[in-house]
Amino acid sequence: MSLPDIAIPVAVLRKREMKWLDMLDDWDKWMTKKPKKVRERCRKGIPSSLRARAWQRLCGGKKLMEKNKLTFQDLDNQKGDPKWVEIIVKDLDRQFPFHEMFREKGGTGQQDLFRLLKAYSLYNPRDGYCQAMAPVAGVLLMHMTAEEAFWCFVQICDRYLTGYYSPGLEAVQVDGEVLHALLKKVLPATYKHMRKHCIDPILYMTEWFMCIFSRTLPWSSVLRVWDMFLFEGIKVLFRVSLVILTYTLGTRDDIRKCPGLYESMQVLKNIPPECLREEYLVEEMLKIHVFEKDLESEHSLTVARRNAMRSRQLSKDSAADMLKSIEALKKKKKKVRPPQSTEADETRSMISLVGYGNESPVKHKKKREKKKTKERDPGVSIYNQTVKPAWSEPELINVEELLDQTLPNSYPDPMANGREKDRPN
Amino acid sequence: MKVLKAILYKLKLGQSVTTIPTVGFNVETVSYKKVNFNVWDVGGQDKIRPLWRHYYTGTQGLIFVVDCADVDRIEEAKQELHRIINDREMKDTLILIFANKQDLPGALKPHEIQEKLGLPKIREHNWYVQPSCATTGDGLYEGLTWLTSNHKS
Repeated sequence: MSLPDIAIPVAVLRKREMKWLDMLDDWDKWMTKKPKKVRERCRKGIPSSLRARAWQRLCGGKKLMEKNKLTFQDLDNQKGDPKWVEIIVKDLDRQFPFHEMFREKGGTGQQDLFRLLKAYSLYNPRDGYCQAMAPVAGVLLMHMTAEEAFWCFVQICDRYLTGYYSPGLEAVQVDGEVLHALLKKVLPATYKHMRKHCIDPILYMTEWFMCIFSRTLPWSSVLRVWDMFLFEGIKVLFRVSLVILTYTLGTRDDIRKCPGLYESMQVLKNIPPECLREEYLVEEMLKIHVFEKDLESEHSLTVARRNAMRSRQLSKDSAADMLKSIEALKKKKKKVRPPQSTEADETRSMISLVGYGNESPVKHKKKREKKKTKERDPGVSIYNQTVKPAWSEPELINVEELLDQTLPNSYPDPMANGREKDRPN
Repeated sequence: MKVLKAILYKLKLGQSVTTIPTVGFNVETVSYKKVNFNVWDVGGQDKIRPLWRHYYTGTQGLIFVVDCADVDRIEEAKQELHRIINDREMKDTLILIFANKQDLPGALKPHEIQEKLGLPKIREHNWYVQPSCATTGDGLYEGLTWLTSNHKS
């Protein structure tokens, strides 16, 4: 494990620790009254002595655990579905194989990893176990007990990376396309290069996103990214990705050096260490302007497109209508740039309806009026209930209810309430 | 030559290493008989397979590794193989099957694998079954030889 590359003076560290202790003592108040302050402190890095407590608060794992005191123990005592257990066991000694905690076969680290993953496969039998879960669980277990880590893990799967580990892995493919769209805005030349060589984002971002960069970055950077991710959510992952893409393939010179798919992939798989250094990465991340609105609208468009493509396979006629509506929406979207809140919101709510498109446009309009206020709230979750702030009243998600859901039409904002919309500095 | 497979590190390093489960892919170049293979190692868990089709474009060879000792899952392997090669993007690829774990007792023999995977019915692809043992490296280079000699550059 690498030491942090920023040596923080002890006096500063002590001060930060005091500030975090103060916040942790009165967490709900801080999150309601001064969320921006909390965000700023997450961006500066959580002192390692308090990281475990802070993470549990930030993601809401702590509240969930207090509310469901017996759940983990109950799951822990069950045998588990042999289908999942078999694969989990196979992977146990292949996570962080050089880490002291996980190195020993059958050691406590591996045992806890098994307990957590098995418990989750029982808790959410639809998603069961996905190989990308193990490194995420591993990072949590390096900080806290199996039960604490389990509840943080539940929150990450349900609220941060919603649908990432679900059958079909639709959500990560959607985010791949969203990243592609952001690339077009931020680095047009790089985007063109990627298109020319068919470098589909899934080719390079799958592991980044599904493992929350835990396998890509040096350890001190992993922690800093997680500090931010647990407050700000998925957009942090887009920012890290854009920093990496800018550094590796950002200039014409970089592109010239990577004439094809293979060379480009090599660069993205072997990112120069100086780009991933904690100090550089965090500083550059904060310069990247990934606005919530960009993310939301790209996400809605992508989902609408994918849903349309899927239903085209089911029914060609209705899909043609949908594609037409999407084209119309795209035109509209162009018109409203720079986005003004009401119009953009209208666009978004319409897209989301088209995404599910089984009603006529006339009906949409009425519904839209009604929905408007709700849609403007970034906290409208994929399941059409407002996401409660993760740190206040988390609820167990009923997996049964989710089984028939189509794709999410917006990102759940883990911290939706109690803070203003984000604008990166 | 772009190839998809899953015994990457053995080919690359000539020795077994501790690997972590592949999420996404690994890509390496393997040089053999003056041919450079760009080998893409894709994650194998069934949950991750929906992402495979993103890797198909431009692929000239598929290396499909079958665990010959796992008789129960041979049908699953057959279905997965046919799903891959029936994709439009994969229509001209060479198919190299490594009939792996030949060292284990009770392992299916190459001709049995050929039948079980339904290879004789495949008309659109050039295919070949190579017995192998990835831990010792037996058979791996023979497989590559077949790929190089059948590859139309």
